[in-house]
Amino acid sequence: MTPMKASIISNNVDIEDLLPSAFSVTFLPGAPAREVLRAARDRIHLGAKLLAHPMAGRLRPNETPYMTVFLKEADGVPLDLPSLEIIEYCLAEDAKYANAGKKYDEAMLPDLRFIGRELAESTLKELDIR
Amino acid sequence: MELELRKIAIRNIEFGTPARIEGDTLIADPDEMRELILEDSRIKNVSFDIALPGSSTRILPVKDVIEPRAKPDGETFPGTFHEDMQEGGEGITYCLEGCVVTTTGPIVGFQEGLIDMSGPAAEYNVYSKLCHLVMILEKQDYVDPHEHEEVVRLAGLKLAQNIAELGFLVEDFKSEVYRWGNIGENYNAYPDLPRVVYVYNCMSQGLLHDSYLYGRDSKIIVPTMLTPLEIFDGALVSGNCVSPGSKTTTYMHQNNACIKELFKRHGKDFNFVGIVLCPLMTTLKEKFRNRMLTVRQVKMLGADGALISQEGFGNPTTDLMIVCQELERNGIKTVIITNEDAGIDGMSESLPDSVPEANAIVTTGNSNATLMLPAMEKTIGVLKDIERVCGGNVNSIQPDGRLLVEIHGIMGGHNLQGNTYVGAVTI
Repeated sequence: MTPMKASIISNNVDIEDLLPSAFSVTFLPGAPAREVLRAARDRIHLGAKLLAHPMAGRLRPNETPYMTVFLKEADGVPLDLPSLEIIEYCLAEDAKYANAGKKYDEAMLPDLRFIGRELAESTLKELDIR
Repeated sequence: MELELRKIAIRNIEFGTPARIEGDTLIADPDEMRELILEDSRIKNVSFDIALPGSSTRILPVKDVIEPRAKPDGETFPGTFHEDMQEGGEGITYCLEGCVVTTTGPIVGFQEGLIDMSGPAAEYNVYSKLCHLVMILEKQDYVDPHEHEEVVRLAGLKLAQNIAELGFLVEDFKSEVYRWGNIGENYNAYPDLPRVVYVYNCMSQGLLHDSYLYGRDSKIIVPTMLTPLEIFDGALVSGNCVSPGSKTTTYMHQNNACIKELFKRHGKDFNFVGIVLCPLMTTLKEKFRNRMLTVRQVKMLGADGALISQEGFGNPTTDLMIVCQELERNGIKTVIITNEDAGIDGMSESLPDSVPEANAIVTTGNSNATLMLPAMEKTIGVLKDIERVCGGNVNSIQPDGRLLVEIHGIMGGHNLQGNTYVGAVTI
């Protein structure tokens, strides 16, 4: 079986050591979630498919600045409409908070990265890519 | 299968010794409770407090809320403490109705919401009308966040079961008897009425985003048929899930409002024939597998209609929508319950996913709407944690002590089984 060509786009650097070699990784440290979503949308337009829901682990949108998107790379295949639909929904959800000006407590950011890492680990287990 | 719930009304809690129930007052013995909880060597310290309805008290951050329940000839929360677990939903269960065990204390920064015992926040949720026996836990330094979550979860369940045993001596109770047949008996019970199945979504994503069925992490199960009676007996408990407004605490599982309503109208408006538990997971593969298995079980139960409740918002909304879509495509009329995130002004599109087949939606309100909460005389927990909870931020605490929070920062503020005081009602 050909190994799945997968990629991750994330602004959470704490997940780095979790990632199996099968993944190509794009880190956008310091970027807001919407930049991660936009980068993922670009990949989807080039043929990638979503492997996991981008909002997983953000139980409520805007409660954490961290976002990790798991994609299956498949260049050259037709556009995957369900993936595009989900990513556009996520962008629309994010846009609601663009002007909300939520400020995160700096001291909490390591914990939010920790939760992001925990949920990324759960997703990787489900995907069974090691 | 037959379950008798013996409900003992509790309207007050006091500390004293010996522990007992006198009239509608629960007298809890702090030393005895402390000894019980410190049996777990991972706990460094524990203290207790009381919060009563109407008082100027705020509890924050709340992890779980549990109704004390115990069985004279078995255990509630089966599968949690013993290997030789019994099936829940049979026999007698004593319930201390009107009081709860509430756990508080930080696990990681992503904290839980608040319960106000009076004021505007108290108008939203059912928790503010209950008497809280609050347990504040401090873990040993070596305990990591995973184990910490487990420690808090088990301590809450243990105490809830322990104090409910005081009810065994009480003779003044209200009895509710529930019966549940096999699939064939249920199917044939009311041949002239439409058959309805409840699809019970539960959070299953990872640390502080999990539920436990008979002690098993719901991330590692596939959709499963359950009886409502085992839910009453605590077969399903919360893994201290975050997202206060839309989380299903153990109390909300034990008192699932959808199940209660389905029973109320069973045999009158429809025939309630079953529950399918559907874990809400992160990968699309799991979502599609769970959709297939959930829909197939609903079909096998012979449903004409289905009700789906959810937990959380965002990622779980996709599960809610795709299961609804597939049920409708199979001719099963489906109603879903969700809250909305329509922005602070209520002007934004309110759902992060939708399908045209979702044509019957019950909303529990816009969780982004903000409330200004008055200062309370007493805070159990850490007020500053409001800056870290869902619905709060670093600007939440006002110079005069008031709090500005979004509704989803209030525990159960828009409970997704509809167990809330805010909603649209027909008058």
